[in-house]
Amino acid sequence: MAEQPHIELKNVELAYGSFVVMRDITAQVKRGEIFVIMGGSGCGKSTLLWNMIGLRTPPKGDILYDGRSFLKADDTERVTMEKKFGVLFQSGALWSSMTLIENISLPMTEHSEMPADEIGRLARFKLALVGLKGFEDFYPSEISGGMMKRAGLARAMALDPEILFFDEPSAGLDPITSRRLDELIMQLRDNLGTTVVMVTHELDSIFAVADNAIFLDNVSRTVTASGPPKTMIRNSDDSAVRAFLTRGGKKNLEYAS
Amino acid sequence: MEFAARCEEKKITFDQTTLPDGVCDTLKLALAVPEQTDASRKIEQLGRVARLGNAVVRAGQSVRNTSEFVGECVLSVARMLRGRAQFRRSDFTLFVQEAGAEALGICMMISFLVGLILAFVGAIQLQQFGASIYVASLVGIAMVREMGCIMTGIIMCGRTGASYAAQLGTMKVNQEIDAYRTFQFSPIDFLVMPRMLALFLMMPLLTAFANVAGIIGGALIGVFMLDLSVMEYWNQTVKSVTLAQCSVGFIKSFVFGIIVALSGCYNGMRCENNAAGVGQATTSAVVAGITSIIVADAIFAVLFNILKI
Repeated sequence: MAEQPHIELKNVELAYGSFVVMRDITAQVKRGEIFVIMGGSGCGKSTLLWNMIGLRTPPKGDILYDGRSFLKADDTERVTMEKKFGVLFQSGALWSSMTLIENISLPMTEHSEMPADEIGRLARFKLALVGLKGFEDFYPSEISGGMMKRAGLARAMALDPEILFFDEPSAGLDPITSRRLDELIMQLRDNLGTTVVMVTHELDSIFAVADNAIFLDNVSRTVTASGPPKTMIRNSDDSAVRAFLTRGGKKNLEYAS
Repeated sequence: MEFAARCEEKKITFDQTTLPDGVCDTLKLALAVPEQTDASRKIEQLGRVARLGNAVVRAGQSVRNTSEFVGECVLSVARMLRGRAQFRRSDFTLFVQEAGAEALGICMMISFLVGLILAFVGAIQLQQFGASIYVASLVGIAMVREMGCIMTGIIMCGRTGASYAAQLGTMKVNQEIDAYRTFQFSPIDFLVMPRMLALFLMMPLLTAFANVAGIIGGALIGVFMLDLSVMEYWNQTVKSVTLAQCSVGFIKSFVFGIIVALSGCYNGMRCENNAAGVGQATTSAVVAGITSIIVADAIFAVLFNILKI
């Protein structure tokens, strides 16, 4: 038997009310893989992510983690599944009434039995990991957008999740910070074996980090291409996919030939 | 653009080359992406019956949403009583400070003035009968039984209820509430409970201060306009304001505290994901809060009348 996929999407449909955004999304994500969901703005990438972490429920289809249905799971099973997730929201979504260190320690205090000083040490370590050492006692409103995003990443990693979900991690970051973030993501995967699901449309990071990807198409409202981006750009005969990956035929042509 | 669409409809080739360059390019830009026909909203002309039906359905939905929220809060209170509440003590003390000490000044000032007004209105009427001493009873009973808790409720609704709605609404827009969910924190436990508890505990205290301030306001009129002595006024107040009257006011203030917290938090949590949504949530929090306070007060009035308290 082939290796059990870590995450499996089966014919998932996304809809807002009666307006279907995407249909028939089918994909498999292997353990320890960086999986990118890409597509144009407003095509339902983030919606798909929200469905995967249980903030929304898709009207059709099923989502499986380690072969077990996430949507049909009972409450306790669902909670154990959700405890393995770490989520980085688009704008960081740090809790604004708490300092950075409190933001990161809170999940640990609530979900683990560690003593307080141990938690403090770990939280400071996670913050140092994303390059925010020294900002422990700042409030989210006092730091920049890029720092908020990095702090959000530190919080997502607080409980050492098996799967990290990123909603546009590099949007709004300068090229160097976003490059560092890509490296950080790859290191996490390599060192901790974390599976990463990432929504993005930054071409540079797609080519730098993605092991596997799906392309959600605005017009046909379904997945029009899947596979590693580098082979996708070469093999896909869908013009939208090629245009997206080459930025309208202007970039990354070296992969295409 | 309409012209181009019409041409396409009638299968006529539309020669754009004769147009000036700028117009031609802009037109190309506009026609580049085909219209997503099913994406544009359909504006349907509905008949009166259909509109009425829609309104009823919407009203039904909002009743269901509200009771769902209240239900979740009850479950959360049960969790809290069993000692499994998940909120931070520092949050709670902050809310207590905001809803208590910081609101004290405004509550006392308004109540003082209300007591003053009541005394004025009563004085003019009662003086005609030479019963001006009863101004003390009028002000005392009215303050303790009704005005103290209602005024406090309304002030707190505009002050704290609105701020709760705005806080939670902004958190929702900022996805902070989603972030709580992804860490398996119940937003109700974490955000609503400390706020509700703070108001539940602070409202009666504020009401007590408001009552005293109102009675002082009335006494001022009694002493300076009606030539009553302070002792006289005080004795009459003590005689007429019984423990039962006081407890009626306090029972109501507990309930009003919960109402203010619920309407603030409910509207904040259901806020739409944009800045206008936050404004709307705040507005409906205050409107719903004040309305529910008055309605609840009316129900209490009937209830206490039946119970003859």
